[in-house]
Amino acid sequence: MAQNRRPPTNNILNHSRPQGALAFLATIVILGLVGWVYLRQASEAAELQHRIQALRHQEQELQRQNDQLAYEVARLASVDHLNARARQLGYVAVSQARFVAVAGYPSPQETAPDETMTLAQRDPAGRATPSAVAGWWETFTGQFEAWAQSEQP
Amino acid sequence: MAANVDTLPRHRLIVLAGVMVGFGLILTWQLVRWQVIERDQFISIVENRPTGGEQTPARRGRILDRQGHPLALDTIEYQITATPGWIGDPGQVALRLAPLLELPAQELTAMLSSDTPWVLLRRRVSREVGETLREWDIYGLHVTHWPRRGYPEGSLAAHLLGFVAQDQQGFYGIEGYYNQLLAPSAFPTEAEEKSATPTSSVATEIFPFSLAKVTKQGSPDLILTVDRVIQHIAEQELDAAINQHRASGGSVIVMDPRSGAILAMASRPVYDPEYYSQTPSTELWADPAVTWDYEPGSVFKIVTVASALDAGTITLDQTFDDKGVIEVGGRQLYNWDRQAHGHVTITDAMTLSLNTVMAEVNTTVGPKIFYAYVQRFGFGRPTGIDLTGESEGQLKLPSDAMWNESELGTNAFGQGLAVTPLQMACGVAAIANRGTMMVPHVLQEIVSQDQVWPRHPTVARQVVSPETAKQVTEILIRAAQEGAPASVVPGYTIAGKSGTAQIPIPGGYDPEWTIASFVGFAPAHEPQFLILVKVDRPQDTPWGAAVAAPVFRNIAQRLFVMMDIQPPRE
Repeated sequence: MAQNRRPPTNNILNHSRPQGALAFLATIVILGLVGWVYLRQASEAAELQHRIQALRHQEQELQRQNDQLAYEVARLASVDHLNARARQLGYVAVSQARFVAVAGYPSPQETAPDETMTLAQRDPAGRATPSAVAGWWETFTGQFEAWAQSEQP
Repeated sequence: MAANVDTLPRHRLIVLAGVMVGFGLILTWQLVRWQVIERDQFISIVENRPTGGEQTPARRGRILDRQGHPLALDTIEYQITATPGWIGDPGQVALRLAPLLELPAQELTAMLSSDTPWVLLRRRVSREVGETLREWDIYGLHVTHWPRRGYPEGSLAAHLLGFVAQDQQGFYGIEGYYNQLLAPSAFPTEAEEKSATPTSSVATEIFPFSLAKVTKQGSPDLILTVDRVIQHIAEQELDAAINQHRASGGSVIVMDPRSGAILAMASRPVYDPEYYSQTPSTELWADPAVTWDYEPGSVFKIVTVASALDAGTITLDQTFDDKGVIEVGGRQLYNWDRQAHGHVTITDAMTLSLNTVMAEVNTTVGPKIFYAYVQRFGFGRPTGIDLTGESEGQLKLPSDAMWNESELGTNAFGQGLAVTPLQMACGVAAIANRGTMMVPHVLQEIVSQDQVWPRHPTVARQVVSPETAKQVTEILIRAAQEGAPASVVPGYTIAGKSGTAQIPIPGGYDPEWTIASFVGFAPAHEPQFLILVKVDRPQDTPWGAAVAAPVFRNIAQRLFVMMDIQPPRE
């Protein structure tokens, strides 16, 4: 019986103690890491948010300054201003034009700016029509062939 | 003893662990509380901090003409506010600010000493003043950007553009009609749009796309059909005519009859939209071309003749016996010259502008057909133009209690009914466009960053057949050449009609004043523009052919050059 009696043991200090303490510490460390990662991300997000807000503010400020400059340019380029300046320089308004018909020279069918034409002019994609591209390519290949032939002995 | 020694670290560790977990829980709870539970409360605290007083309005979209020239855009001004509690020495600060803010130092001292969270010192100061105050960097003084709407072309197209008030609300013209597009802060979100409550926005009816999408990247720019050079020409010629004839005002409309696009719309008297509050009368803010109606006079004969020809009631070869007077509904009607012209065709009657023949035509056509055509021409209802304050004019129908049979006769030559200049222009534009009426519009497209939303021309209705339109055009060519020769540009074929309208006053017509007008299109057989000229109360001569027709000619002559329209080859 005396041999079976064991002295009182401390669970933390005996064989199972290091494992329990390790698990506890690991939990603390993991929690700490998760908290640190979260706080870091939150602070970075807040910092980025602040930077984005600052950039937006800067963009708005630049936009306002751009508008202000555009306004001043538009004032200087207004019809009244240009008209007065042109008159100062000795120009006069054209009130009558005489169109001279040249034999054999085709007259354009439609010369007035209509909405469709204006839209097409404003649309960069509209300018690059397939026929225009084809024409350009034909000109290019023709020039290349001419150059290649000129190089031949 | 050994047992006591062994158990001590365990207790300590448990206590330590408990404390750490407790702190951790407290920290975690605080984080959850601040970032999740009370998040909105903190955001509202930040947003409602008293430093700025009022939030700066968002940038308003620009308005540009068809060539991309800015007609309206925001400029920089500043709003000056203060937090009195933060001002160290109100008296000293007031002395510095007084000359710049143009306020008495005593008044400023009182404002800066008040116990309110913030106080508005000046709603608007110039850019120079604002930047000076920013450089001074006075603690407690807030210099906030406050946009001001600028109109770089001055009063050019003022009525058409409208203006923007201090609260950034657009009024009249384009600014008023497209206020929701130009100022997206007053705009419904996509979620709100999807809600059951339909929006009352007029723009929604015109554009088949989500307004929230258009304003997703901020306030969009509006490109107009208006050309600033054509607008300038129209205004210059109108001013010249008003000065020459000492008239009280007038309007000019230039439009493309093929699409309904308004190229220019000018009215006088005018105001500067940038300084709208200095206008002597608020009546000047409304656009007379779309808001005020008038009795059109002989110009309306175009509608009478087109209706009768299209209904098949009269023919071009038919002759009418003009006795100089006709009785309709118990009322005797006379020609403008009180003369009888004998047997005339309808073309002669238009050229000579004979009231009696028109009244006779109308009695033949009958009220049912005539008023059906008048309504088809768009009179008595708005044209649908994208401008605020459009009037529908005044048109009495046989079903109305106030209608009298004699009005069938007077309406035939443009008396007893009232139209807006735009209605009259659109009616004649239908003739120019082979009988098809287009919805007039001033917006060409909406541009937001890299996206473009075009507004396509819209057909209103087929008013008369193309054959009728062609016949009326031929009549109008002769009416312009012989009835109003001052409208003709040498080398070009013009179609048009002049009118001299009396001005109704209580109990009859004004014995002294008239409204002189002319409406025409050119080139007559391939129209590229239509011009309506209306001059109010000319003093030297009352006649449309003498006052308004030359204005048409002058504008048309300049447009031929500008638009490179060559005269037809022989």
